[in-house]
Amino acid sequence: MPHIEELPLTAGKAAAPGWSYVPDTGYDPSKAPLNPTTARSKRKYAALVGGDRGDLSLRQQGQAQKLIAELDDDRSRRKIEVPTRKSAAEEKRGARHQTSNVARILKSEKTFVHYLDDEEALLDKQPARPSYNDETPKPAPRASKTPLARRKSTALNIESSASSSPAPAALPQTPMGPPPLPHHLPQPTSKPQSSTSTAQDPSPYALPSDAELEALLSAPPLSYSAAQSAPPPRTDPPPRRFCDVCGYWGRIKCLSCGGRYCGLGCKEAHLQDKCLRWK
Amino acid sequence: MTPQKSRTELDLSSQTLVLDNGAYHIKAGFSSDHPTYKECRTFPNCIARTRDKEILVGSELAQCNDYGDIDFRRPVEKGYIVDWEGERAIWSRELEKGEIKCNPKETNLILTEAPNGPQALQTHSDQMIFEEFEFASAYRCIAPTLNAYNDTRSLFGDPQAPSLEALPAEVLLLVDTGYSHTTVTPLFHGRPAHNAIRRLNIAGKQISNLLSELISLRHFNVRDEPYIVDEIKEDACFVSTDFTHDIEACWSGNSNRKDLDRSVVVDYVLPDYTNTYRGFVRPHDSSRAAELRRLGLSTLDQPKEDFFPLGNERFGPPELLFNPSDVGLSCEGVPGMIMQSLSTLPEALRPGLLANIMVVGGCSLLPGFVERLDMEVRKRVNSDFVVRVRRAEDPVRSTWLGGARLASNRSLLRQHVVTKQQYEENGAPWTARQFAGKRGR
Repeated sequence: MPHIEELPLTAGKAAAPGWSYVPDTGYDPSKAPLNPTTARSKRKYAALVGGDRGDLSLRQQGQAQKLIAELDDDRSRRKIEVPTRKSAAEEKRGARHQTSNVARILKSEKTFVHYLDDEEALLDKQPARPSYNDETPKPAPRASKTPLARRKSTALNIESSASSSPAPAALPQTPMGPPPLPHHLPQPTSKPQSSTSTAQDPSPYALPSDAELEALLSAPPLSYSAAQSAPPPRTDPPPRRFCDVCGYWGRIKCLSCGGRYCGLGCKEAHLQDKCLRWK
Repeated sequence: MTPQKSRTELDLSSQTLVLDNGAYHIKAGFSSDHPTYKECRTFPNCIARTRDKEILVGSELAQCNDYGDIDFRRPVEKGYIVDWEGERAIWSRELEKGEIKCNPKETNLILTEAPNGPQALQTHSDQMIFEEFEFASAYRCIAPTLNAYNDTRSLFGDPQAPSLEALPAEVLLLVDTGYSHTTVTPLFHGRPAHNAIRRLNIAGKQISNLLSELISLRHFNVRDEPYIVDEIKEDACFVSTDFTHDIEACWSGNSNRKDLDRSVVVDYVLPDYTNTYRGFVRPHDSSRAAELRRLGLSTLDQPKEDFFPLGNERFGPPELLFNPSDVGLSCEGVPGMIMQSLSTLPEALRPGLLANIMVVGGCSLLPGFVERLDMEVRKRVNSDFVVRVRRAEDPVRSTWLGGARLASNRSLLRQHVVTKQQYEENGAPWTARQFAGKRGR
């Protein structure tokens, strides 16, 4: 009988670690459905666990990023030549000496993204933006780039300045106890009084003192990314989806590509032109 | 060495040029004793190359008749001056023979910029102002602060202040929706609370681009004609106060049998550049004959016109200001941004800000913007708070007017400007600190 033997592809056993990284989907066996047959039960579990808003796959995220980049495009052609005709005033003055700063600025072909990257690299190197007060800046932890409203330790919790980045640390260090009340005001637990309040009317919360207000107003400006509007809170309803074809509510999701449409009419248009199932 | 002159002895020249440097338009003009909107000149902040390869700089664009196939070079990117070669050409042209003819060496300058910009760009601006243009003195500030010098008391219906000096408003929450972005800035006595400034990257440019995409996908390719799309936006777009109702009105049903609601759906007729040079809106015609005409299949002998219906394209793009997640941008809209901004400030200051919300910027001219913002902010605050949202009389030029009013008050102006001599003695970083408001020299 011919000798039949299975030859190993690798020389000896490959060094397998016996463990590997898996994405943390927050799997909770006590809450997971026993036999998730329908998409509905899977979705209910996903919503329970939280996850990342549920329904944006990597490809759809890429599409969203592409759309946002297209919206930001102002189609500015930097190559359009600037007219160099010498004006009468310049000729009168004669050849004017251009300082090196000006020459460098005019020649530079940097775009906004370059300046932004430079700024962020600078922020990484030195911890704090130069404070505009006279004291030397306190050594603080690395400046965080997350928008302020997204951070867990925002200015609402003013005491925890050690854990937050320098920008909130520059805020007035007010004590967190009940604010000092002028004697004629009601207790802090009652609601604010009359509805014709302007900035001068008394409120149950004491107006910040002059020194505190001054500290608030002389804080250095935030960086470009820190000043961005933060994402909506988790308790908000999920983002609305619209039909890709006509713009009505996108109630139906295409099974192949995930694009949305609203009804049978738009379904045909979607399958003809927009569906990515063969891509 | 002569001692440095104190602030009160600074000899300022009599003429002040206020330059609100926007990404789309520059609003510029000279200040006077009682400035009005009439003195403000508005011209495009771009260098354009027409179809015939002719180059038009700044206000020369008004001479152009044919906007087809036109290319733009915009020196202001995302609200900050990045391309100084282009910006210098535009400024030089206007200063020498354009709308704001003057000699910079004898003029003070008030220049605006967007908040939270990279410091390198701020330094570049200072260097260009003093070393290239050689203005006698200058004050570079963020655009929202100038609005505090406007007549906010009459805007909000408050009793007039006893003296008519251009004092800054005590408390103001400014919402500025321009071309590149929308910012929310709380101001106290004209000074911004920097930690509370928030920015959303949705404004006129993104709305126009989205409108252009939607029209191009559904009806007619207008991707290469941004000028026409801007006209469509100005004529037909609005902010919906009842989004659900409006979107239902634009749906033609599952089998296209439902009639469209004429109060929301309109037809837009494009110009044909022989009889008409500007498009216009007319009520929607849902008859079969109109449908054939639109597709060009009509057998009747009628003049050819290009038109298309506009339904949810009218209010869908402007809705982005309130729900940026509609396009997948994970940011909160303008009302949410106002709440984020307020949450960083002490609680006692919030009622004052909520009662003094001022809206400026070209994008706020969209019908329904102020009403919708008012509605949304009220939804998010306790009913005890007074919420007053008002749009400036002329939102495009309001910032300019604030600057002109500031400049008309010489003692106020002296407190803020830095002269060329001081810049040369002390250098650019010192100048940047002065502009940032460091009190006491």
